[in-house]
Amino acid sequence: MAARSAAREVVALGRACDNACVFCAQEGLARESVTDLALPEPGAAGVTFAGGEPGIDERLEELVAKARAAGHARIGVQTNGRALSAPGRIEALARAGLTDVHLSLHGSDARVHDWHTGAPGSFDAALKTLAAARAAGLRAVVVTVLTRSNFRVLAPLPRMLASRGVAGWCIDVPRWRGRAQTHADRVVPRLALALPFALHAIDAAEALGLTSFVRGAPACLLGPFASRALPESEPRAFADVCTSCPSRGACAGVDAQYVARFGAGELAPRPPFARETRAPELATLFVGAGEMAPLREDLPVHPPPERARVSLPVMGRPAPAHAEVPASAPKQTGEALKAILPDLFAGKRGER
Amino acid sequence: MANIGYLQLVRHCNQYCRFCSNPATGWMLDLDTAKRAVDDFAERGYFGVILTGGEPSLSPIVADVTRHAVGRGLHVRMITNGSRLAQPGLAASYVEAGLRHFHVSIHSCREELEDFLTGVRGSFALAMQALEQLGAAGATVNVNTVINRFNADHLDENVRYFVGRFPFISHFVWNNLDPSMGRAETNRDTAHRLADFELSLARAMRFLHKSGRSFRVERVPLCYMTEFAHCSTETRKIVKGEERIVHFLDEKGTVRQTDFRHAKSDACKACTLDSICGGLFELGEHYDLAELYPVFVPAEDIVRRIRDDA
Repeated sequence: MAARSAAREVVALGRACDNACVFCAQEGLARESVTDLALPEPGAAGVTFAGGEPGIDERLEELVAKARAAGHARIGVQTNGRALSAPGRIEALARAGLTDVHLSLHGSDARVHDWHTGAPGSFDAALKTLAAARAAGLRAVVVTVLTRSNFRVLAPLPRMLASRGVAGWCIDVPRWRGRAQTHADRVVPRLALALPFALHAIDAAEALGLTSFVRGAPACLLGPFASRALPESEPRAFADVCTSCPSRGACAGVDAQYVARFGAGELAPRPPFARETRAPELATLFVGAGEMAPLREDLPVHPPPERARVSLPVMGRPAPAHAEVPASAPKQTGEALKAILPDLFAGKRGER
Repeated sequence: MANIGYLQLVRHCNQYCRFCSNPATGWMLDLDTAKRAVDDFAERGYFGVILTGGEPSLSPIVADVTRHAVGRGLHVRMITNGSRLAQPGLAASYVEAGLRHFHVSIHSCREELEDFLTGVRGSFALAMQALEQLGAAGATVNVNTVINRFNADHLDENVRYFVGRFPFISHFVWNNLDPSMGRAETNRDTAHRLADFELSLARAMRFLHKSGRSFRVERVPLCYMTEFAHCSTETRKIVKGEERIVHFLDEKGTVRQTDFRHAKSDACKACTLDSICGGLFELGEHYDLAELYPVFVPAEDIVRRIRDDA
C-alpha cells in the first residue's frame, strides 16, 4: 500500500456511459445524472470528476472552470476517452483548468480494448484523447482492468504507454460486482494465473520509467510488488487462511465470491512488506471504480471441486449408462459384427 | 500427417468408472474382423492403431492383432486401466509381440479417490503395479487422465506424483470429460465447469514442460490452455489437417472424424484463436458457453509451433 497524500475528492456526475465494459461494476445502478452537484472545498489533493462517463456530461467544462475558480489547483477527469476525443474538447477543458486525465485502456490494440468496452472505435478514440491531453500539457495516467481476455497480452502495454508520455499506470483486479458478477465466468481471471503476467508487465513498465501500481490483488500473490498496491475505497474480504497473515493489515483481500467459487488454495500468509513511499501524489490520481452495483444474491456461485469430494464416502455405485449391458452379458462377435461394422465386411474398403 | 485409428477390442471392463464413455455393450472383436480394420488403416496410410475398449487387455487377440498391425507397418498402442498388466509377465508378452506403447488411464494420485472413480477398490494399487511392470519391460508409458469434477483441482498434484514415482513417464494425456455419452451422461455429479480445472491444468502443463515432458489435451477450448494452445489435440488436428477413424463396438459403428470444431459462443468471434480452436465439446448441453472468452494472442505463433513439431 502506498504511503498516501490526502485522497482526491471525487465528484461523480452520474452513471450514464457510452461504453459497455464487460467488467463494469456499476452495471445495474440507475443511470440518471446527478443534479445537485456540490464541489468540495479546495484541498491539497484536488478534485476528480468521474461517472459513469463524465465526458458525455455537457456540464463538465463548466464544472472544471468552477472548480478552478473555487481555488482547486489539481483537477482531473476519470474517462474512457471517447466523448473527450471530439476535436477541441480536451483543449477546452485544459483552458478551463483541467490538470490531469485518468484514462481507461484495457489492451494495447483496438481488438483487445474494443472487446472489453463493447464499443468499436473506442481504442482509437482513447488514444486521441491521450494524445490531445499530452499536447495540452495535461498529466495522464492509465488504468487497465485485468481480465481473462487481456492478461496474456499485457506485455506490449508498458512500452506503448511510456512512449505516449503516460505518467503512471495501474492494473486493477475487477470487483465481483455489476457486469463482472453477471459475467464472472467470462471476465474474472483466476488470480494465480493472471497476476504473474500483470507483475511481469509492471516490472517492464518500471524499467521504462513508467511508475506502476496494482489494485485489488491479495498481497500474497504480489511477491515483491506488494508495495505497489493501491488502497481500495471499499475493502474486499479475507479467507480463513488470512487470519494469521502478518500482512493482512496492508492487504487488499479478495472478493468473498471469488473464495466461494475457487476456494482459498491460492492464498497463503506472507511476511510483512515495506510500504511504498515514492510517487504518493501520483497515486492519488487513481481514484478507483467509485460506487458499485450491490452484490446480487440471486446469482449462484458454483462451488469448487473440493466441495464435491466431501460427499464422496456416501456416494454409491454409479448409475449405468443408457444402453449399457452387464459386463458378464453374452458376447457377440465374428459375423455378427456386420450389424455394426458393415464397412469392414464390404468388398471394397477405404471408400468411406 | 500422422493419422491414428482406434479399435475397440472389447466393451466389457474390469473397472466401473463413474464417467466411462464406452461402457459394456456385449460386442467384441474377433481376430478376423480386427485384421480387416487393421488392413484398412494400413491401406489409408495411417501411422498407427490404438487398441482400446472397454478394457482391451481382456481381449484374447491382443498379441495377434499387434503382430498383424506391426507386419502392416503400423505403430501399435493400447489404452488400458492397467489392472491386468499388474500381473507379472503380461506386459512383457505384449512388448514382445510389438505392443510397446501404453496409455495407462489413472485419474487421481489420491488412492481413495482413484478407487472411487474407477468403482473398484484396489485399482490404484494395481495401476501402480502396472506402471512398474511396464517400466521394467521397457515400454513407452503415458498416463491418460479424464478431467472430471472430482480431480479437476489437483491435476498438477497428479503429474508431480506420477513423475516423481515413475520418472520414465514422458507423456501425459488429459481428456476433458465427455458428458454426452456413457456413464457421464447418467452420473452428472462427475461433470465440472471449465474454470474448475483451469489453474491446476496450467500448473500441470508448466511442470511437465519444465521437466522436458510432453502432453496433449483433448476437448479443452484454447481459452483454457493458457500458453499451451499448441498442445491441444483438436488444434493440432485442425492445423495439420488430420483425421481419425474409430470403430465403435456399438450402434455408432465406424466413425471417421475429419472436423474437430465444436460449438462456440458469440464471444469466440472476437478471439484471435477462433480458426484453430476446437471450441466446446458438447457445447452448452452440459458445459456452459458462458465460460468461453476471447483471447488475443497471435494464432500464427501457435500454428508455426505445431508445424515445427511435425
